[in-house]
Amino acid sequence: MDQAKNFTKGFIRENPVFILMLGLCPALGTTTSAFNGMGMGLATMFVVLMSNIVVSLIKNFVPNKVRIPCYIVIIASFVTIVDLVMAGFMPALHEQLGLFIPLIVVNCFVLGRAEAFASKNTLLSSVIDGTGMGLGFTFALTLLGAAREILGSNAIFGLQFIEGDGMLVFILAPGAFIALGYLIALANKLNKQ
Amino acid sequence: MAKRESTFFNMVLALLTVTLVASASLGFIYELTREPIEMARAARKNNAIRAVVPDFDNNPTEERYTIEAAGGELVFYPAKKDGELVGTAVETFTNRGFSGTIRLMVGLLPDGTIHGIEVLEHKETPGLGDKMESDKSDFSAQFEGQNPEDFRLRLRQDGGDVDGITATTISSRAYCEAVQLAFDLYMDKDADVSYELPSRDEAVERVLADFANNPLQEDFLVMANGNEHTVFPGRRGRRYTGLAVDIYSEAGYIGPIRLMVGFDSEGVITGIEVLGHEETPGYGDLIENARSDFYKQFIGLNPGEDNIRLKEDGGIIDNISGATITARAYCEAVRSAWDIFRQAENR
Repeated sequence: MDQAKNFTKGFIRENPVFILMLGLCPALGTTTSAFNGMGMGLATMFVVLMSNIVVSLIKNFVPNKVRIPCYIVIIASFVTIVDLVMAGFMPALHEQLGLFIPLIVVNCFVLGRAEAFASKNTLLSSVIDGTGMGLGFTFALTLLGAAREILGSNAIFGLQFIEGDGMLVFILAPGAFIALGYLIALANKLNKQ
Repeated sequence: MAKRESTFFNMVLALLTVTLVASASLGFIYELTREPIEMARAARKNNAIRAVVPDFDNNPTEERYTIEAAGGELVFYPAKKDGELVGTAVETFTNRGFSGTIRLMVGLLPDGTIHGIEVLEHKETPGLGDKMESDKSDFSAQFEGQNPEDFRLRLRQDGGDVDGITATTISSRAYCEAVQLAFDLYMDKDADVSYELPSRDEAVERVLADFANNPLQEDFLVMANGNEHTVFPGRRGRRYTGLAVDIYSEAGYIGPIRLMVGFDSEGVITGIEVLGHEETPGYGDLIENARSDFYKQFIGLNPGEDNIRLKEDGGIIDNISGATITARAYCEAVRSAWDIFRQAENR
């Protein structure tokens, strides 16, 4: 496979959120602001990348029937590592994202990459896939978070550009679904062209 | 290397290896990060203490003391300069937030004036409830320099002096409550009592305005609307001064509400206490005297002349926003109490 294409596919063509519709739980729950979305995206990217590396390394050692439990253990370990390291060395960031980090374990997008890609491809391809897909996920979450923050709080990355409250519904759960719906429609339109 | 067969041995080996390596590396990372995490946590607490009290030169954490209250524990960190107390940081909490526990660090000067408040922990809605954090809105600034002795720690809509956060009534209420708890305990008041419903005996004494006898020993039963109700007469000498009526409403939002309503000899309401209810925390429970001024509008009214109904039902009582059914049941119970008062008068 063309490695450049492998890298860029995560942004629009196979974007985990807009096209594959994986990992929607954290995508909806954490994107109340662009910063939160980006932080969650980057933390997930680290986990996808690391689990892709390990899974592609041990793909021949793990028998088919127990591959899913093995991948889950690997993913859960990396998530815990991210959680602990962040709490110890980046307490300010951890305070912002602390609640969301454990959610990465149940993110089917991470398991999906391990199962659908890393377990069938070489180490290099898996690294490129993990980075590309992780960036695509970060891109999607940041976009969704920015859209909700602009509409809901009249701000972007915490910078207020109009005084007062925005449309509060976009901060709450229904607004997440509304914003995501429109972004999915947009991504599908771009994909068709 | 070809993919390994799914034999029993291979499966056990793979799972064993993966879990062993995973747990070993997690143990290693845990050891590595344990100290930094503890330091970060302590630093956060220290920063919060520093932010809410005036300059100090002692170690408040070493001199901390705790008081148990409201089903938990409040930690007091005395801040001293040159050996003299300049303020106390109180780590307080409430379980009545919109999504669970809220922990605050409240800085109080020796006379009880609020010097500053920082949020330590909460799970409120991002973008709404989290505006209680001092760097996200000015909400906490309105408390600074105020003494809860004359600054009522309740939202304006509940009869207090605090401007709530838009669309975040429950979080704002919970915040005020946690601050109140810190203040009450610091000033050595029995804070637990103020948020607990009174017992029947306490309520009788509180709702009757004027009595010299022991109403509890002179209680009798009155039949009204097909039910028996206990009433407690107040007397001064032989003169009859009032009556306390123990009454259940028909149905509140969840279940019946039990009130103790006090009347003077003319039938004017002298006091009301809520004895029991199961209404929604944050909404219906505002009928409790400790939580809002709802009950105050009844005092001085005479149900024989005044229409004890909500304004939307054609009466004169202001509703509790978000708790119409509860407020309506409360009014209904007060009217029933008056019926009983009339019955008892005939004896």
